[in-house]
Parts: sequence; structure tokens; C-alpha cells
Amino acid sequence: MKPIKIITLLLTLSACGLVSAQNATDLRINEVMVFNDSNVVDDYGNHVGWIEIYNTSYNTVNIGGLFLTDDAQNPIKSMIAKNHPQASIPPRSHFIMYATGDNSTGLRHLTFKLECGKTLYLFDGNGRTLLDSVKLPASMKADISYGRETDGADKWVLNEIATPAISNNHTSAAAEIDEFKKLDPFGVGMAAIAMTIVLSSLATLYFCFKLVGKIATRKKKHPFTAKNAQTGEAATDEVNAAIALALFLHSKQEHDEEYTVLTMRKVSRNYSPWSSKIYGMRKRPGGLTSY
Amino acid sequence: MENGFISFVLEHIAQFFSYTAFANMTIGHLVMIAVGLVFIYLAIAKEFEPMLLLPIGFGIIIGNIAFAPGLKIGIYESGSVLNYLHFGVLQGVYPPLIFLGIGAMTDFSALISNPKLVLVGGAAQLGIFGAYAIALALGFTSAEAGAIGIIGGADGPTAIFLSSKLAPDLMGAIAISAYSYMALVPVIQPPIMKLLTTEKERTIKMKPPRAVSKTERIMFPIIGLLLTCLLVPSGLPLLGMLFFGNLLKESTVTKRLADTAKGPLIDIVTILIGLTVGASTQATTFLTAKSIGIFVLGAISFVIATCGGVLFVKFFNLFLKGDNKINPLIGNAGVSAVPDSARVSEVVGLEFDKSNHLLMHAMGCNVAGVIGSAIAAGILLSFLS
Repeated sequence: MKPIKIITLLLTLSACGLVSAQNATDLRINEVMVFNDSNVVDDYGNHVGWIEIYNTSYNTVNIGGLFLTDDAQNPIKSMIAKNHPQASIPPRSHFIMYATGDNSTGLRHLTFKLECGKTLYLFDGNGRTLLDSVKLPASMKADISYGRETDGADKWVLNEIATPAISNNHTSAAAEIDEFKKLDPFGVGMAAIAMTIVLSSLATLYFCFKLVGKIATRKKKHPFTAKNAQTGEAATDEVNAAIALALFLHSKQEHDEEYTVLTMRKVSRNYSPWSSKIYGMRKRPGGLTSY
Repeated sequence: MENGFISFVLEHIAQFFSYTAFANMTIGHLVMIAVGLVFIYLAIAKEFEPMLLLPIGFGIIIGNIAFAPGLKIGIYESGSVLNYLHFGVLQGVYPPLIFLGIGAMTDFSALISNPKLVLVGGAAQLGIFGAYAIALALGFTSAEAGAIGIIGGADGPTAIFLSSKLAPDLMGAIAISAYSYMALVPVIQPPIMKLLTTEKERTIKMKPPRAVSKTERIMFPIIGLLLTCLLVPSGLPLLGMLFFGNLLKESTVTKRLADTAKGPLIDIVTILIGLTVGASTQATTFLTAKSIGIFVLGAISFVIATCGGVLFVKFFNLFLKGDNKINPLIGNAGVSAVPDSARVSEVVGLEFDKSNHLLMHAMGCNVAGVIGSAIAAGILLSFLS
């Protein structure tokens, strides 16, 4: 095959890739919550119904110009803003739309509110090609979502623990937590397990430092030197005796007059090239000064 | 022409009015602004946890000035400045940074010299799991119950960290509740301590702590990290930063880093966390029945934690002899609330014996409480997330 043909083929394949990158047919309505009492909040801190859209592909999909509606006769009921920099869904990711009834308040807001029993439709930018739809259950409790069992799967289930903007596969983890709650409704098991873990890890720390302490106190005491006085190590009996005497004299007001503060701490300033005037950043080589 | 001009002016005045807070204000917003003012009053006049209550109180006012949607102003509005600052809370960035500073300013010597005090810090975590059980009984989900229970750890950053992971919607109420009760530690704890102890127990004199060598102080954060995080890796963000900060301090070769961590860094993060947590309590999300439940459970968890610490010391004393016995008045310090709960131990101890200073011993329990609550948070995270 000639090089030109190979390049043409590669360019064609790349173009196909670009086309599929914008392919809205990879989008799915993934999860819906109609009554939101204490679930995720919108941009304004309000609890409103929401719809999660999932990009099943491994390419970023632009969702600007697509339509969401709850009325098949009116497919262009709520349009997602075109040319918005955030109107795209990365590969295998989720996007939340809030059904506030007013889409003038932001990209993620829809012109309608959610109602049980209605069917939601996702239409392509031409307003005719149906991308996905889902019929909502006739009744739903607050904070219960209706979603695909796993991301993009065909089966829809009611989820007690909603997973807005994250994978529905987490519902399996949520189910485990639910199971945990069912088996341990009063939290006694959890308290027992957790307290055991807390106390055992701290007990390990206790035994370890008891041992360290024993080793440290068994060590031969060094005589008092200027070096260990500076580091604060090995407060020997002599030091303790000297401190006790000083305190005793102080309490009796029998000490001599002190004009300076007696300290074991180093009082000179630490040298650092960062604060040095010699190596100032503004000083030019050769002693020239610029203004 | 004239009519057109007047209608133009009136229309724009009306439009301007629609953008003002007066047009968008609700009773809920006014109630929350009043709450913010009370917090500011408590911080300035009563000096209750002023470093936190002042930013939170002011944040509550900021968060409850109503506005017209769409101007990228609100904390929940993507792209707004407050939204960017709030990111650090939502993603759990700020709490570990605060723990870094806490580590750099904490002296674990009291704990190292008397390591059995670490167990008191563990026992006081009973408040977390007591509140968890009650929250479950009240109908909260497991994740919400875990996030609410952590209030009993009496550790603000830990409460914010865990609630941001388990129940982000309740984070504002949980944080406000945790900090409020931490400020009220001197009011809540003394009656419980007196109720659960006898006259004789309150006057137990503890052995003075021994001098701790520099080597031991350096070993503590390293061994502490390994022993706790190998068992509970989910506590790594908090415990890792706590012990790292402490190593910066104790190594004495990174003085500048330690000074930054315990000075400017923790101050900056405290300002940001306080302000944004306060601002996240918009009336629309905060004034709910759940928030009231959280406040009630917060109080219960503090009471259980204090009881747990004091009663554990009494139980522990059954196995200790002579001057190894622990004064149960330091049991309350097992809840974190550093250093207020340790101060409470000192004050209550002095009430019964003017020469019995418990502060140093209580500080040992206090820092153990910080470690204990971080471990408990890690356990809850691994079970419930």
C-alpha cells in the first residue's frame, strides 16, 4: 500500500474517531430522583428532582443542543445549552440535570419538574432522533431513586441509596451497607467491632511505648553537659537538684540579683542564605546597583 | 417619549430590586442570620472557641444573604468564588491540613511518659458509636448515622472530613453542632464528672510524668503512624498528617516547616474552613428536622463520650495499684476538644484539692483522644462508604 493511501486511511479512521467522540447515541438516562428531600442539592442549595445521564462510550460526548422532555409530543421541551464549555460528558462519566422548571438559571437546569408515572425522553439535537427514554414508576418515595442496576444496564431498579453523579455500580456497595443495617439495626455490632479496633490499635501503641519507656529509663544516665542541656536531654538528678535549689532560693528571696534571663535555649539567630544581605537577590554581580 | 422614559426607569428599578437580597429573603434566611450573630456574640463576648465560632458565624451571615440565582455568587453555584473555596471542605482537603498543624503544635510527652493514658482516649470514643446507634434508631441511614456519631469525637476537622465523605448534605449541621458543643465543653462536662466520681477518687494524686528523651519523641510519630494506619488505613489522611506534623516538630531539624504548619498554614486553613462551613448553612438546606435531630444527637454523644472516659478510668483503676492509679477526673479529656477538656479536668480537680494539678496528665488523654477519634473516623469510613 502506498504511503499516501496509508495516511488517507489513518486520517479517515481518525475522523471516524472524532465523529464517534460526539456521538450522542452513546448517552443513556441512567438514574432519576423525583422527590428529593435530603439528597444532592443544586447550584443554589435547593433539593430538587434530578436526572443523571451516563456516557457509555470511551469518548467525550458533547451534550449541548440535546433535548430532554417528559412529553413525547413536545420533544424540544428543554434544550441543554449549546456551545457551553461544560456541556460535555467525559468517557464513562455521569452528568446531573436538575428539574427545577426554569432552565434560565444554568446549564444543568430543565424547564420542567419531574412527576411520577411520566416518561422521560432524551432527544438528539435535531429534536426527532430518540436517544433514550424511561418510564418512571407510578409512585416513588422521597430520596429513593429509580436507576439502572449498573451503569448503562437494561434493568431498572429502585435504589434506597441514590448515587447521583457517580456509578450506579455503587448501589451494590450501598446494598451491602443496607444489609449491614438490617443485620445490625441498633448499631450494637458496629459499636462492638469499632470499639474493639480502636482500643486494640491504641493498646498496641500503649504496649509499644511502655516497652520503649522501659528501655529509655533503663539507659545509663549521662553526666550533665552543656550539649545535652541544649538539646533538653537527660535531665539528671544534679540538674533537678540545681533547679530545686534555685526555686527554693527564689521562694525565700535569697538569690542574687539577676540582670539577664538565664536560659538554656539558643538565642542567636539562625543563619539562612534566604535572609542573607550578602546574597540578596537584587544585588547585581560586580557590585552594580540597579534602580 | 416621557412615558417611555419613565417606564424604562421603573422597569430597571424593579429589575434592580429583584436582584437585591430584600426581594429574595425568606424567614429562614433571617433566622440563620440571627444564628450567625449569636455565634459572633459568643465568640467575642464569651470567648467560646473564638477562632472557629467567629469565622463560622460570619460565614453563616454570608451564606444567608439571599440573591437572585445565576450570578455565580452562592456557595453551591458552580464557578463562584465561594464554591471554589468550599471545594476544600467537600473534598476533605482542609481537615488533614489542620491536622498537620495540630501535629506540629502538639507535645505528646505526657502520653509517652504514661502510655496507658492512650487507652482513655480510646474509651471516650464510645460517644461516637453510642450516637451512631441512637441515630440509626431515629431513622437516619447508616452513612448519616456514622457522620452524626463522629460529633462525639469532639474533633471539628475529623467531623467535617467524615461528613464530607458519608453525608455531604448534613455536613454544615454536623460541623456547627460539633464546634458548638466543643465550645460548651466547660458547661457540659463538669456535672457529669462530679456525678460519676467519689470524693476520694477526685483527690487521687497521680505520679508526675517522667522526662521524655528526644529519641522517644521522634520515635512516637513514626511508630504511631505505622501501628495505627497499618490497622486502619482509611484513617491515613488525618493520622498521616497529624504524625507528619509532629515529626516536623520533634525532629528539630525542620523548624521552619513546623513553624509554618502550626502558624500561617493552620491559620489560613482555619479561616477558610470556618467561613465556608458557615456559608454552607443556607436556610434552604440547613433549617430542616434533620438538623434539629443532629443537634440533639450531638449533645447525647458528648455526654456518652464523657461518661465513657470517666467510667473507663474507674474500671482501669481496679487493676492499678498505689501511685499508678489514675484520677478519673481526667477521663473526660479522652474526647478530643483540645485543650478545653484538659482544662476542665484541671479546674474540676483543683476544686477538690488545691495542690492537685491534673493538666499534664489530662493533656495525655486529650491527644490520645485526637488519635482515637481519627481511628474511629477511619473505621466508619471503611464500613460505611
